[in-house]
Order: sequence, then structure tokens, then C-alpha cells
Amino acid sequence: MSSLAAQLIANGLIAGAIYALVASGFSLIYNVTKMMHFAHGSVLAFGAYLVYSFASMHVSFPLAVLATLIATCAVGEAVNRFVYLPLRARKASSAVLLISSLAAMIFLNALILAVWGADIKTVPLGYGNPVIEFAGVLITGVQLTIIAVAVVLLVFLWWLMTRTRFGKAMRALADNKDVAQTVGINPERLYTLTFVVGSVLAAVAGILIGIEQNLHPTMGVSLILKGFTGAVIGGMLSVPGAVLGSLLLGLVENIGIWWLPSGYKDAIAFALLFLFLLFRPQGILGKKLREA
Amino acid sequence: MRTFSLSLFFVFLLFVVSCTPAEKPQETVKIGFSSALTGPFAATSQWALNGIDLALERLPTEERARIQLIIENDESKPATGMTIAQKFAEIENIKYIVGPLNGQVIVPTAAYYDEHKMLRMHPGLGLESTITTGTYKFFLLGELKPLMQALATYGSTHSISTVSILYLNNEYGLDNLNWFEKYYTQAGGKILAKEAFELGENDVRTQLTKIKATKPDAVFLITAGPALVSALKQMDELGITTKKLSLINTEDTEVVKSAGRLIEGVLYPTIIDTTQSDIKTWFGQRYQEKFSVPHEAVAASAFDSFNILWAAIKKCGDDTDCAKAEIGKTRNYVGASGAFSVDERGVGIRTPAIKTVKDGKFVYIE
Repeated sequence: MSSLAAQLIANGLIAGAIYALVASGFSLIYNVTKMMHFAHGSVLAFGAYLVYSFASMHVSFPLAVLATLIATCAVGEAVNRFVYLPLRARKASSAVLLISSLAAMIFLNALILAVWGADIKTVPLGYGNPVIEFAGVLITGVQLTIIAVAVVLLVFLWWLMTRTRFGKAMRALADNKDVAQTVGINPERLYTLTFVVGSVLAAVAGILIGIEQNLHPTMGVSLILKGFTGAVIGGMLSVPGAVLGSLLLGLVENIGIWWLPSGYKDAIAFALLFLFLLFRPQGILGKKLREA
Repeated sequence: MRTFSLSLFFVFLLFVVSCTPAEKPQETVKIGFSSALTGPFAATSQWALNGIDLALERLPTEERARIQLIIENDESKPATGMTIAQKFAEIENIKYIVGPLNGQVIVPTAAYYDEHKMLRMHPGLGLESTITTGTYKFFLLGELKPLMQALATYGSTHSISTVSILYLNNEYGLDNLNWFEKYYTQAGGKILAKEAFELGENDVRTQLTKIKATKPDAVFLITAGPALVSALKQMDELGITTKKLSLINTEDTEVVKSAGRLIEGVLYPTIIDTTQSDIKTWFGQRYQEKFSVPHEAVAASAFDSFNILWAAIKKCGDDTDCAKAEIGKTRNYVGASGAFSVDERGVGIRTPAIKTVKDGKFVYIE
């Protein structure tokens, strides 16, 4: 394989891993609550800005990461508690919940703009980000970390969903809320836990993406669009599938524009989505639902 | 009888007082500001607002009290820009506007603004499409074409025979690309690759990998703000060490701060202005003092645009034909953005030059 082709695959993996970080939390929340939490992208952006603020205050990096995880969790849970919970209590339809998630996304973006301003922000790392060369491929330490975290997430989410009581409860709730309640599962408690875990994933994504890219208030919007596309390709009902789908999306996008003009990058992504919706609507790992 | 006379006197006094014309209060003048206060262009809009803020600060108190600045966020969206234009015309009855800044809003709203004879002062650079659309408008910062001509000429005469281009796929990016390509190929230069990316896209690694494979003498980055920083960072990561060309937007302190050493040596076209004036010095110092950052060209242009506009309003009132003629007469104006005249198209005539970034400072090289 030429070094050029290897570099293209590496570029695709980096992009895919970034989408996977976004898609994992989004998909987890969708699996349990059956709602499209588009504000997840803005929660992620909040995480990126928080780590920027802590790092700018010269807080030690591990402490900054810890504080960001806690604060981002609080933001994600606040969206659940103050936006979705009252709507769920009123038995709001999924369309209403979808609109409310878009409203929460716009609100959070505006809040970021008001607090941090519109200027470009770069997370001061405090230490170098070495470029590693392997078989003609150039990749940085942060990018390798992003790919590694995406792979770890894939394994962790599979383990969480299939091997833990929490995961089983989540799946039970996702399958049938009424039956789950009869066996003692408290839906609201589980929703809260899901938003907390989802927001931790958003924080991890925010920290890594914040270090890798520059920050701007609407960064969450473009990220959630790609994360959502990756989740649909991988299978909306499969959290590890969302990670796989995102990796595939990144690869196809980046390899595709080697032959096609680069302006078609988004078109390639959505053509892939269209093909999946047409020929495999359940996604890569999703299961086909049988009609009763 | 005495009481009656006294009462009559007071009634007369009251009549006289009531008939004396009161001093007529000066009418409030509404000036609109339409630009993107959110999204990728929010920072540029904020610079323009800062410039207007300082222009207002310098006005005498009684004049400042007459001005009501109505700020609207057009989000760089044509439909929102149009709604704002209608609001300005039909609800606010505004005749004068600073903005819009973005070509995506300037072009579709121009006909409506012109129909209502509403005069616009655009603080940014004029593009081919924005300069040729509409009549009641001014671009005092000048236009993009001579800047691209200067950069193309510089490149072709300084051993840059081949260039590969990464460009932002919007009106601004395409206008820069087209002018540069025209002048550079006319001068004998060769364009090896043209790679596009969309607004908001942060990952341009594959476009840069394609550019790297063409082995150009220089890479021209037609972008600004966060995207410019990302492109510089990713060029470095991919080991692209060739010469770098960019736009006037390189002169952005936030970009320089974020890009650090990566922006060193980037060549870009700008406006040469070696004039020294009290207003320029005051503006530079006051801007730094008030906003804690050095000012950008758009801020100085907005400051000058507002001052020139206000002088015209004072003379012409609501008559925008008169104000347009007045502003059109501007010759050798010395303002915060330097010295300039206005041509028959309403565009500031400026002299282009090439600058680079050296030790974090912007220095002329030609």
C-alpha cells in the first residue's frame, strides 16, 4: 500500500473516530429514551469550552479533565431535568421532544456565545503534541488518542449494554417501558443515569475534540449532524454500531474525495446514509424489526 | 378692581408663555446595523460594532443623544437579512444602515434596500458580486480584486511558479480564487490543485494530502478565522513545509494568537497605509484600552464609515440621495483606516501591498 493511500485511511480513521465520539453518547441516549437528543452536540461543545477555561486558568490538566467531566454531566442532566422531564411528564409526543432538543441546542449555543464570545479558542495543552511517522503516515499523539478512545468506547459500550445490570435494565426499558416497570425498573431514574453516562461521553468527546480542533460556539451543530449520520449508518438501536458506522463514514468521506472534488465531501456522507436507508435501514449492527 | 387687573395680567402672562414657541427638540436619527452576531462571522461583526462604539464615543454628547442604533443579527442568512431589511424599512423607518457584512446577505437584500432608497455602509471588502449589485451603498475598505492582483504579481515575480489552493466554498472564497487564478495564470504562474471545503468544516486533512501530492511552490489558503488556524495546524501535522499564502484576514490577532508559530511567514495582501494622523493614533490606542486587543481593519472601516455617514446625515437629514452624493464626494479622507478616496462605484480607493507575519507582528515586505 502506498504511503498516500495509508495517509488517506489514517485521515478517514481520525475523522471517523471524532464522529464516533459524538455518536456514542447520542446513540446511548436514543436507545434508552427513544428521543433524538440533538442538544448532545452542544453539551459536547460545553465540555470543550470548559476544558479550555480550566486549562487557561492553569489548572493542572488531570484536574481540568475531572472538573470538565463533572460540569458537563451537570449541563447534560440539567437539559434532561428542566427540558425533557417536564415534557415527558405531560406525555409529550416524540415530535415535541425533538423540537425541544433543537431548542435546547440553540439555547446552549447562544449561552456559549454569551459566556465565551465568538472569537477562536484553542485549548492550551501545556505540553507538545508530537507528530508520529509510521509507514509514511503522519499522525499526532492526540489523533492516536482519539482513535484509541473510539475503539475503547466500542468495547466499553458493548460491555455496558450486554454484560451489566445497568445495560440490561436499559435494554429492557428500551424494549418495553411498561413491562420494565412491572419488574421494578424506575424509568425516570434510568433516564437520569443514561443522561449522566451520555454526558460523560459528551465530555470525553468535547475534551478530545477541543484539543484536536479549534473551538467555536456552533461547533456542536456540525458534529452532531455527522454523529447522527454515523449512528444511523451503524444502527440507531445499537450503541457499538453507532461507533462502527461513524468510523465507516469518516473513511468513506475521506477516501471518496480523493477521486471526487473535495466539495462533495458532505454529499458523499449523505449519499452513504441514503444507500443505507434504502438497502439496510436498520444499519450495520441494528436488528430488523418484524411487523406484528 | 386691583384683583381683577392682577388676574387679567396673569391670564395675559399665561397666554404669552403658552404662545412662545418652545425650543424644538432635535429629532432622533435611527441607524440600523445588520450583520451576523452569531455563527462563524460573529467575531467580524463584533469588530464592526466596536468601531461604531468608538465613533459614537467621539461624538459630542448632544449628537450622540440623537442617535438610536438598532442592532439586528442577520446570521449571514439571506432570508433573515431580508426580514431585517423589511423591519428597518417598514417598522423602524430607517434610512441609513451600517452593514450587512456578508455577501450572502448583501446581494439578495440590495434590490429591496435600493427600492426604499436606504443607504448602506458596508464595513467589509467589496466582492465582484456585491460591488455590482445595488446603488445606495459604499465599501470604504475597498475591494478584493486589487489585493488578489497584488498577491498574484508578487508570487509570480518571487519564484512561486506553482500554487495549490485550498479554498472556502462560498462567495468570498470563490471571488478570491477567481481573481487570483486570473491574475496568476496571466503572469505565467500555474495552479496545480484547487481543493474546496465547506464553511464550518474543521477537518481538511484529505484536501491537504491531495495538495501535498502536487508538490507546489506555495499553498494558498483562501480562508479565515478558525478554519485558517485549522488548515495551518493540519499542514504542519502533514509535514507540508512549503511557502504559505493567505488573505487579508490573516491580520487577525486571534488567529495569530491561536496559530502561534504556524502563521509565521504567511504572505498576504493588504492595504498599504503609512499615513499618520491623530485620529488613527487615537483609534488604535482607545480600541486597545477599551477592548483589550489591537483593532482589525473592519473595526477601523466601520469607525470611518459611521463618521462619514453621520456627517452626511447631519447635512442631508432623511434625503438619502443627498447623503449618497455627499459620501460619493469623499476625497483624500484621513480616518482610522488610513487615507482614501471614494470612486464612482462607492468603493474606497486603496493601495495594495504584501505583508507577512514576523515574530507575531504584521510587517510590510513590499
